[in-house]
Amino acid sequence: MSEAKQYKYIGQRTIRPDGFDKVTGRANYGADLSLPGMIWGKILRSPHAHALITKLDTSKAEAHPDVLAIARFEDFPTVNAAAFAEGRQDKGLVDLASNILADKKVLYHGHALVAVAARTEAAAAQALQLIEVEYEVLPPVMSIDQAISADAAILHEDMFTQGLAETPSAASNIASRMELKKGDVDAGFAQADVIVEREFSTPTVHQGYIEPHATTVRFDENGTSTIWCPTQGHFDVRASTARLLGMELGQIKVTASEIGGGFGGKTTVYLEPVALILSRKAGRPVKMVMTREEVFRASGPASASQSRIKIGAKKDGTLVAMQASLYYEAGAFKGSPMGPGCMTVFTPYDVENMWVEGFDVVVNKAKVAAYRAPGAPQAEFAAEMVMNELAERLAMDPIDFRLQNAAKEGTQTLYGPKLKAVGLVECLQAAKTSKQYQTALAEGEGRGVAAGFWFNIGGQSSVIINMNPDGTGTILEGSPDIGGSRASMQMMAAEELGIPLDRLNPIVTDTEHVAYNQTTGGSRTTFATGMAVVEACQDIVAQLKSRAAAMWNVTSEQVDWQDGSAINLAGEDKMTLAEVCAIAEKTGGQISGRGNINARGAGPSFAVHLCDVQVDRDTGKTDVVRYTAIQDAGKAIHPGYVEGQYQGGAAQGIGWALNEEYVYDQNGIMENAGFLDYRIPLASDLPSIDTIIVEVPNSFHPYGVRGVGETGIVPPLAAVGSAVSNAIGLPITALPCSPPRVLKLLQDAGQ
Amino acid sequence: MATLILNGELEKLAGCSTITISSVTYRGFIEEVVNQVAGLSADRLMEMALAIDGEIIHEPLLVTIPENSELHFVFKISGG
Repeated sequence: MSEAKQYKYIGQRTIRPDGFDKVTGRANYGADLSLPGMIWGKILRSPHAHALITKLDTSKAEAHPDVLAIARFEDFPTVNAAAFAEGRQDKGLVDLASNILADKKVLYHGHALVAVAARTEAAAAQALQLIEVEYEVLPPVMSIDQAISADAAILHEDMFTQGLAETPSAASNIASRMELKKGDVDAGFAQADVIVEREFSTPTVHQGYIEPHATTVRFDENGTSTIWCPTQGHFDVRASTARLLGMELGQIKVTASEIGGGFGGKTTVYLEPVALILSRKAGRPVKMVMTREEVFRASGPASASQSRIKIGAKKDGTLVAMQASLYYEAGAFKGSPMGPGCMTVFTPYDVENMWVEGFDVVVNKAKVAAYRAPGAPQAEFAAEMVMNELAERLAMDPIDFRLQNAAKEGTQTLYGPKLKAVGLVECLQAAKTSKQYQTALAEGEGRGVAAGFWFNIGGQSSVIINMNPDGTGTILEGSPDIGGSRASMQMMAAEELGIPLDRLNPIVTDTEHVAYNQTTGGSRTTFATGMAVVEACQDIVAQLKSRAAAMWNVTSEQVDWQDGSAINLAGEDKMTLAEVCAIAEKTGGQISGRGNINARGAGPSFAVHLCDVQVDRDTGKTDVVRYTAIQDAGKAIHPGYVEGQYQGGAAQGIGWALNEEYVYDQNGIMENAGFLDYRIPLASDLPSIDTIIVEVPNSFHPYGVRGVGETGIVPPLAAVGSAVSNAIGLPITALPCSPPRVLKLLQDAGQ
Repeated sequence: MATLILNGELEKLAGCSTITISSVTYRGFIEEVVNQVAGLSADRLMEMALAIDGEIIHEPLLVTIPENSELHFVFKISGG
């Protein structure tokens, strides 16, 4: 294993390669591209949360002199009525199409109905007003309780709950149920001296990325159509668009622009296929940009949840049984993160008896999208709140309680496999000795502790590194950089090749210049794309050795590669990488390395967060006064970026816990669709967030890397929730702990 | 021989919590499971990841199943 090795670049805080462009404003984001002859697309959206479309007449809009094209659901050739008649429909694809342009029914306020492309943005907006739509309004289903009640309005008449013992005969808003178990939970509870059982809820929240969705596309009937957009996965934008439009992958080129935040919310398509339909019809490039209001109303938020948690322990602090029922809102179409929620809820603990059931529930809200560790924050919030209450009931330190029951190497998880080496114990120990935990609370302050788990994934990554005759090189990767991956790729390549960082230029290229890359998500990129970079470098080193061997008239086996130079083991010769590249013309042509992998062995990660708060009892406002995020990175390639991920996850989790929520009126209309009313934390709302990087290496990665991007958002909900609870001396069972809610809790308690 | 450990729905369908596996190839392993558990389809199983001794493999088609290994089907994870 590589942990004892001293590295030249790995572990250093190097200058980020994209930094200059970003701070000088030269970086090009989603809305920055304009093309000659370009026209503008706009979308007409539903004013109702749930309604049948009884009339849709676009004729007046089509007659508008500046309107060049209109797109409707029927324009998706692979899911329209003809495809249905021919049995070519795929339910997942139909849901995707119906989400980006409604078919016969609108399922949430803001649901897209029709798109118009016109010569100017203003003309497109004007033309939307000319479209005549009539609805039969249906009762909106806006919560899990409403959705699963016996008299609920049904969103999809063809949806029957999957995962039940018996096939149901009636349609339901519960798309599926899953169950996981380990041991005998009833027998476990029978051994318990103390049992805590509580119900919790979390609201619909948005990822809060600053850059709205945007795209510029140009349909080319003779060759390759082009799409420019901010996305976490341009290869999957290409795949989804091709499937929806019945095109071949080779007919579409997608370029990922710089991205102004994604956090999971930019892993699907909304505008791109629509814009391509409009461009095809109009014969002109089309640009579409969502407003902030559209982003809130119609892009995918994170699931609201309800959960019931029951945990039992012996007097000595040994956990004996854990049980959970987890309900997740999917939004208008099935597909909440219920599965990962069930799989993660109790993973921090090594307990013999566990039982979890989960439900995927549709409601009249925008279809949910991923958000950092999707499903885990909601579930682990509930579990960690109960863990803290249990620790209090047992009169134990919450960290000691967790240490006594912590998952470690060999722990059999509820979802199946035994854990390999993981760093939860090390994180808990670091928390215990941290500066914050050693700091006494001031009067009126409350402290919360929480642990968190996320799997992290590997998957497909493709990298090409082209070397130039002067020894510089270009790293072509296909993983959009949402958290510093260009720096990590540059550092790993420089380390492998033994050359200075600035000799290598990392570029996120389009879908034509490298093979398929899975979307940047699941905390996979530094791990998986990093492995592809290492493989590409090994390919290059093999070629460099072969070329040097040819010059020295020895075999490749007689050449070693050390610190950026070929060494002739059969003589005294030495050639630097630049010198070998300079003679590439004479030794077989230019040198290029390739790494195409489907990476296995992703290392799961654990985190522990500490939060201290002060609550103003007159206003209910909570101030976070101290915060520490501790997490196992495996190996921090660039500690600055790793700390940034920890702090970013903590900041978003604090927002989720304290203020963020979609507020709907009785008709299912979101009332706070803007950053003035949807309150994400500002820098002035947060203390300096301390970080501690724990490094328990992942043996499957050449440098020991685990993913770090997602786990950091898992613990804050319970760390903050418990801190507030301890500060006010009252239980917290619902998020957010916003001033009105906290004030009401205090008033109801007569305080 | 490897041991497949079943959980949740798969355990209910199989009526047992473990199945002994003799195949060393993934396709042979799937065939063995389908032959032993009525109601399970190969397509459904192949949509899941396979964990071998704790290592989760999303595309296990080419793996060799080690002697005495512990196997689990795991739902595929994506992430944000």
